[in-house]
Amino acid sequence: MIRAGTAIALVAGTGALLLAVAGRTASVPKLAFVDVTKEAGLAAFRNVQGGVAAKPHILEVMGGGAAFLDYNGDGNLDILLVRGSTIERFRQGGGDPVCALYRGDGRGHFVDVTEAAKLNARGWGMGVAVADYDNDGRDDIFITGYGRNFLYHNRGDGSFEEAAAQAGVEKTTWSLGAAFADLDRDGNLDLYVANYIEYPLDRLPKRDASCNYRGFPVFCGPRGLPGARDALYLGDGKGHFRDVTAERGIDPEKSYGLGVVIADYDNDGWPDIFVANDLQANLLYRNLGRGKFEEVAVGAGAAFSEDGIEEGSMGVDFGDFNNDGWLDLYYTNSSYQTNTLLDNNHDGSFTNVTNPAGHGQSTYLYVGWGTAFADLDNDGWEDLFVVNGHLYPEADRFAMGLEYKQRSLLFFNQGGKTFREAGLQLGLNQLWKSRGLAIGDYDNDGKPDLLINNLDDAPVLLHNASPNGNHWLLVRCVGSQSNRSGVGARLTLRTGQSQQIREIKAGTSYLSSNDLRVHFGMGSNNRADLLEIRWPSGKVQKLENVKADQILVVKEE
Amino acid sequence: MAHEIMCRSFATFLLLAIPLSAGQQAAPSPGELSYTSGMALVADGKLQEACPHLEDAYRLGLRHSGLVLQLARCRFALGQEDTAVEILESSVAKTSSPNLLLEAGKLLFYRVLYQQALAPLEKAWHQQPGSYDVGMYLALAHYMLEQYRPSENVLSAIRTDGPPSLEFCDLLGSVYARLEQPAAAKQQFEKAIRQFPDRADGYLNLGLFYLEQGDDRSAKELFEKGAEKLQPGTKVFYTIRKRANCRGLELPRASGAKDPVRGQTYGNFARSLENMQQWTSALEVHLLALKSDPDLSLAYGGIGLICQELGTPEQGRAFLQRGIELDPRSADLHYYLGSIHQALGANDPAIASYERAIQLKGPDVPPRFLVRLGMAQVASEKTAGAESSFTRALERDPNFAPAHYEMGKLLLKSGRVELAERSLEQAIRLDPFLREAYYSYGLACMRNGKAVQGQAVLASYQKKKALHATVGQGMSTGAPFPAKPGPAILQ
Repeated sequence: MIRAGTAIALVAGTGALLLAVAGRTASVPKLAFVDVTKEAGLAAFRNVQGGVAAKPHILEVMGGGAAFLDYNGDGNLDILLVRGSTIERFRQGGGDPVCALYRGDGRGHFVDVTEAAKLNARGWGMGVAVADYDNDGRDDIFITGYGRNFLYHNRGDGSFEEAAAQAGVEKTTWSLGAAFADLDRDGNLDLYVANYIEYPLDRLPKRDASCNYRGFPVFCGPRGLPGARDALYLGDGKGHFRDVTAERGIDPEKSYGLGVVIADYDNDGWPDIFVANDLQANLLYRNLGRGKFEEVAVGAGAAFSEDGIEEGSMGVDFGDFNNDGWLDLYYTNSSYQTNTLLDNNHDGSFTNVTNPAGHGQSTYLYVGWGTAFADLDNDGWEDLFVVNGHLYPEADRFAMGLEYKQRSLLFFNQGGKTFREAGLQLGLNQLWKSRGLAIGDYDNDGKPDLLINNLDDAPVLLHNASPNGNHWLLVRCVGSQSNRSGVGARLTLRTGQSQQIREIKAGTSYLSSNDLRVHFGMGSNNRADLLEIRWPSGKVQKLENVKADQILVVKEE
Repeated sequence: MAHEIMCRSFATFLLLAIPLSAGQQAAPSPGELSYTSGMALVADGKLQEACPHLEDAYRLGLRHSGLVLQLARCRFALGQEDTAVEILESSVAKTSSPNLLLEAGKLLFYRVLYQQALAPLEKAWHQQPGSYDVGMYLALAHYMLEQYRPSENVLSAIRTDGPPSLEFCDLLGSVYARLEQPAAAKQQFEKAIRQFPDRADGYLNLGLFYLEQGDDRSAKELFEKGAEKLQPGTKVFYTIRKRANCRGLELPRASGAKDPVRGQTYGNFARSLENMQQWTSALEVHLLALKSDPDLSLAYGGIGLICQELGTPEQGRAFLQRGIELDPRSADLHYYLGSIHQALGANDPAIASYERAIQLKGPDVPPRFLVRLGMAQVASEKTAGAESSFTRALERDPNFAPAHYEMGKLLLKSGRVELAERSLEQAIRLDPFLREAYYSYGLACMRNGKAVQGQAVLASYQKKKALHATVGQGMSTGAPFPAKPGPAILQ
C-alpha cells in the first residue's frame, strides 16, 4: 500500500507504473499520474515513422498526433492515434493505415475499433483535429498527412466515410497541424491547415556537409528546402470547404508550418489563428471580422525569441495562466532554445515572460512538441504539460547533455505568477520520443488525463490519480445557431473573487485534439457563482449557482 | 578652368566643383546647397553630422553618384543598413556609371554584404571587362561567398600592364587551393613572396596553405617570416577548411619540448585571424601554437571561443578548462568559460565563472563581464540579480550599448515599458549596429502606444536581418549559424 508522503517511481518497460504521491510540503503539488497504457489496451499501437535506429529523412521524425473524442456520443471519451509509414511501404503500397481508433468505456478500457469504424485509408499520417464539421451532431475527424489529407465523416453508425476529396481538403504536399473554428461566425466550421515543406520522394535532398547538427551529419531540412503554403478553408456546413488561402492573404511566404491553435486572444469576439513555424517567424492572424485577417505576429511580440531570432517552434496552446481574462500563449521550441510563454498585454500584444515565469532553463535542453494548458490538480490555476523528444537518434552520441529520448515536463502553476517544473518530483521520469499530446478526462472523474503519442513506440496514457479533494466542472457545449461542437465558445467561470476563462478549441498542442468538453478546476469551491458562455453566434448564456463536480451539458439557447 | 583644380579627395573635388560650375550657371538649388553643406562636413571628417544635409539633398531630388554614395555611407554609419542598401540597389539598377557601380560594390563588400555586392560589381565588370579594380573586388566577393569557379574566371580575365599585384597572386592562390589545384596555388603564393618579399601577406597565405596540407614545419617558418613583416593592411585571403567545427578535437598531450616564443607568435597570428572571424583558420593556427607550447593559455582560450562560434561549445569547454588550469588568474578565460556554460544551458556554472572573472578583474572589470553575468542571471530566473548586474555595467560605462539593450529587455519583460523604450533607444544610439536592439525597441514603441514608429522600426529590423541571412542547405533545427567572416585584412 502506498502511503501519502512517499514518492515512488517503478520503471519496468511499457505498462510501467508511475506513481508519485507527494504531499509532505505545501510547495509540492498534490498530483499523481499512473501509466495505464497496457491496461487500457493501447500498448500494441505503434506510431511508425520510418526507420527506428536511423532517420535519414526529415519526413520520419515529425508525426503523429493524438486525440480524445466521443465519436459514438455515449459520453465516454474515445482515443485516436495517428501513425506514419516508411518510405518503402509508402512508395510501394501507398503507406500504412493512418490512424487507429479506440472506443472507451469510461472506466479506462479501450477497444480497437479501427476496422469496424472503416478508418482504413492508407497513407502517411501526421496530425488530427476533431469537430462536427457538418453540424450533424457527430464528431468528425480530419487527419493531416504527407501527400494527402483525410477527412473522415462520421456516419453515426459507428463507422466513417472518407470524404476529403469531396470536401475539397485532400490536396497537400505535406500537412502537419490543423484546427477547426468558425472564423467568419456563420455557424459553420472552417479549417486551417499548416503545411510544412515540399519534400517529393522522387527528389529527396542529397545529404552533404551542410546537413549537420553541431558537427554530426543528420538529415537535411527544413532550412534550405522550399516551404509549403498553409491553407485556409471556409466550410459551408454541408460537407464542403472552399480554399480561400490566396484570397485572404494567408502565408504568402510559404513558411514551415507546424502547430496551429485558434482562439480569440484579443477578446473582440472573433477567433484568431496562431501558427508555430519551424525556424521562421511564427504567424499570428488577427481576425478583423468575417474571416478577414491581418498578420501581426512581429508587432505582437509572438514571432521571434526575445532577441528577435527565429526559433524551431512546434507545439502551441492558448490558455489564461494568470486568470486575468485574457488568453496567453505558450509554444514549444527546439533544444538550445527555451519554450516560450507570452503573457497577454490586453492590447493585442504579448510580453515574453518565459524566464521570470520559470520556463527558461528548465526547457533549454529539450526539444518540445505537444503542449497543453490544463488544471491538472483542480486548484483553479491552469498548469502546463510538455512532451519532449529529440529529432536525431544521433543525439545520444553528441555528448552535450542531450538525449534522443527525453522526459516530459509538468509545470505546476504557482498562483498565476510563476511555474515550477515538478515532473521528476512527481515520478514523471520516463524517457520517450514524444510528439502528440492530448488532454481529456476519459474516466469522467473530473481530473484531466494525458494521452501521448510517441515516435516509433507505444503511446502513453497517463491517468490522473491525484489524491486531492479539489472540486471541478466539466462542460459540454452543444451549439444550435453556432456550430454543434461549440468550437470557439468562450466560457467564463466566476467563483467569489476569482474568474477563469476557457475557449473550446478543435486542434491544438502538436498535431493533436483535446476533449471538446471544457474543464475547470474549482479548488475548494463546491459551486460557482456564474458560468457564462459566449457562443460563436454572439449569444451569451448565463448559468448561476452552478454545482461543482458534475458534467454539465449546455445547449445554446 | 574650374575643372583643372588639384584636389586631395573625391569629396573635396566635388565640394569645389559645384560652386565653381554653379557660378557660371544659375544659382544652386536647395538640394545642391544641402549637398554642399553636407560635403563640407564630410571633408572635415564629420560624417554623421553631414547625414541630415545629405538626406535633405536626396529628398529634394538630387540624384548624382556623389550624393548617392555619400548618403549610403551615412546610412551605414548610422546603422541604417537596410536603407543604405535600398538606395544603392536603386541607383545601381538605373546607372551605367562604372565609378558608381564600383564604389557601390566596394561599400557593400566592406559591410560584409557580399551577395548584395555582386550586382553592382558584375555590372561594372560588364562595362569594363578586364578592369583590375572591378575584377579584384568581384573575384573577392565570389571568393567570400565560396563561389570559387566564378572567382577564378574573373581573375583569369583581369588585364594588367605590369606584373600581377600581391593581392592578385594571393587571392588567385587561395582560389586555386579551394579548387583543389594545390600546385597552382603554391605557385601563386610563391610568386607573391618573390615579388613582394617585404610584405607579410604572401608568407601568411602560403603558411596557411601548408598548414592545411599538413606541413607544419613549412607553415611555421612562413608564419615566423610573416610575423616579422606584419603591418596594418596585411591581407590574408586563404581560409583553412580542414575542420568545420571542433567535433573530435582532443586536448593536446603534454610534450617535453616547449618553445613559448614561437607559441606566442603563432597564437598572436591566430588571434588576428579570430578578429576577422576566420574561425577555422584561427583554430588550426592555435593548434599549431599548442604544438610549440602546450601551456599557451592564449591558445586554449582562443580555441574555446572558436569552438563555440562553430557550434560545438562542449569541445570548447574542455580547452578553456585546461587554459584555466594553466592560468587560473586569467579573467578572460573564466569569462569565455562562462559564455560556454551559458550556451550549454548550465546557467549556474556560467554565473560562477563570470563572478570569478569579475573578481579577478577587480576595479577594472569591463562592462561586458557584468552584462554577461546579468544575462546568465536572467536565464537562471534571477531577475533581481540581473538588474543589479546591468546597473553595475552602466556605472562602469554609461555608453556601453549592450548594457542598455539587456536592461531594456528586462524592463520590457517586467512591464516598465517607458523606461524600456528609453534604454533601448539609447542602446541603438550608442551602437546602431546592435541589430537585435531594434526588435525590442520596436516592441517597446508599440507598447507605449507609438504604433507607427514601432511598426517602422520592426520593419527595418526585419530588413536588416534579411540582409545577413544565410541559408545552408538543411541546417537542421536548433543549429546555430556562425558569423560571416569579414574582409580579410589584418588591422
